[in-house]
Amino acid sequence: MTVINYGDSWQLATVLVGGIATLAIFSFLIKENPVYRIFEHLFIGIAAGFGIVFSIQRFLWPNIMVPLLGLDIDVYPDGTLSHSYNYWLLLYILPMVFGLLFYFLYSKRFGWLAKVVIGFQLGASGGLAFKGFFNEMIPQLEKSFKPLVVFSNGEVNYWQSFEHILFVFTLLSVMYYFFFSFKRESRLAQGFAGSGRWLMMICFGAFFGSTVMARMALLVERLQFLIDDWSPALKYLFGA
Amino acid sequence: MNYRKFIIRLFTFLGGIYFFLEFVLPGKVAGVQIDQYHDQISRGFIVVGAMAVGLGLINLLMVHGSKIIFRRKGAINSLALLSGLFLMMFVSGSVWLADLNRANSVRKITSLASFAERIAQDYQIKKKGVKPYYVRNQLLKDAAFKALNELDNSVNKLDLSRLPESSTDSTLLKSLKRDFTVAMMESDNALAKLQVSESDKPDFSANNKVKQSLQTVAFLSREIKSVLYRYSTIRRIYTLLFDGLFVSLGSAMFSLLGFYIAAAAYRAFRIKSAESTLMLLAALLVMLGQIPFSIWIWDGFTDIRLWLLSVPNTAAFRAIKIGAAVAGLVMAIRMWLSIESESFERGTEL
Repeated sequence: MTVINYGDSWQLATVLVGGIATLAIFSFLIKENPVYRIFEHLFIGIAAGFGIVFSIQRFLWPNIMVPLLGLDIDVYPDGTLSHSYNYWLLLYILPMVFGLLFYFLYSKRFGWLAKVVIGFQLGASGGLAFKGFFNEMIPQLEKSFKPLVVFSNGEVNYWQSFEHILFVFTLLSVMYYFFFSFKRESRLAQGFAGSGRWLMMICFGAFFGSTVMARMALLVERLQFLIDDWSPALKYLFGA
Repeated sequence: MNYRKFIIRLFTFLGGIYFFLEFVLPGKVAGVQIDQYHDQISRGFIVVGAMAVGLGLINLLMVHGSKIIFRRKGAINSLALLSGLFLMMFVSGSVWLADLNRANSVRKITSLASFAERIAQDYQIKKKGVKPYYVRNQLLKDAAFKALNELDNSVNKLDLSRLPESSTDSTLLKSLKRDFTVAMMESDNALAKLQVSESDKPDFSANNKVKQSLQTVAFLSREIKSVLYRYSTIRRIYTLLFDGLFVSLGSAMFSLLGFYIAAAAYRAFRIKSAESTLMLLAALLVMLGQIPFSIWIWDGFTDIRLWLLSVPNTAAFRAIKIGAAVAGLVMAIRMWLSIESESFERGTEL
């Protein structure tokens, strides 16, 4: 619950607007209506406007433009500089100019030039995916093959061993379920793939439960805002 | 293949080759430490993508602007979208500029603080081509007194009346101003102790004190201005747009999905097969393990939930992820080598 200073008209307005916006979105639960549509579009507009400024403010300006324009260099009282200008930074102009090719997308004649830069981006994402796969998946794969019999203090830890066996069995059976390179004819293979399917259902169920709880947490937060913050603000506004 | 197709495919290949080589090659190649430039090169790649920011803006303007001009269906919605877009751009841009101005207002002081440190460093490394340390100290002293005087005047001129008298910010501001006055006095004292005449044994402890006190003055002055700025009209409009609209609309939208999920669950989770029963049970146990009421009934639900999530769920999800990652890798290589480029090359005359 936010401590609202009702005497502060801006704070009061922020809470009131927040409540109206929340109710406008929830009005969709009754049926689709123009108020919901307007607020939905307003949200997209605000998010896009914020995103544009944010990307310039947090990335382009401090990391590229400030060093490129030498704005981070201080001139000391004796005429010396805090650091000299790095002329290699001028190379950033190349990707900037290259990135401007995106705007040929609107030209019929030179539209193909936009595809050069889009292709470049696709290629870069392909290269990154290659790197990402080996950096992310290989360690995970290594760690997935746990010891099937776990000893603790010289004795077999049955529960942990069972967990590890189940983990490896689940991993292999689910992977096998998606293995379509050859036909599964034996009963053993079919049973193994089938158990993968069952275990996947447990995974989906657990996922579903977690997702529902996350959404419910947001819903509870919104309802708390409406009850604890918005309705007292409304009462204050109408002098109740 | 015509030359345009060739150029597109060449650039697609070039786009991916850097990250591929960066992964397969060692950091040092032919005596050159290549990996030290990785950050700058990666930024270059991001710059290419960042240039497309305007593309989104142009598309929004074209789609929604035409709806408004020709008064097509949904023109009011488009008007709401564009007004939200431009209002937020203007307001968050203004807030950013104000932040920059506040940083610039103390730039001279922070620059002098680093100069105080530089004088000592240059003397220790016997840097050539610079004036003697005592001359530089004198220059620092003169410039710092002038800059501190200007800063003091600018802080004293600030209009404190916009702050509500009983607010926590008002108390904070009073304490900041008190600390600022103390820091100003400390800076004056430290500057007075700077060695401004030649000595056999130069002592740079005063330079260190000057650096620290000037940094404190700069920090406090910026904080004072930041507290006051919270009460400026533009900042309040920003809070109204961000907290009142952006945050509220965002969380309301996502919480709305909770209802859709519940409706979907009603259709999907009806006990019609053993598999759906299993799914329902897993979901139920995970949800029960997270709500206080069920924990009040039996606290074992939490352990079951954690076990479900850490053992069968992690294993099955990892298997799906590995499969998807292999497919993603194949797709990425096909994209990189322009094997998957038919649909991409379609549409424009090449």
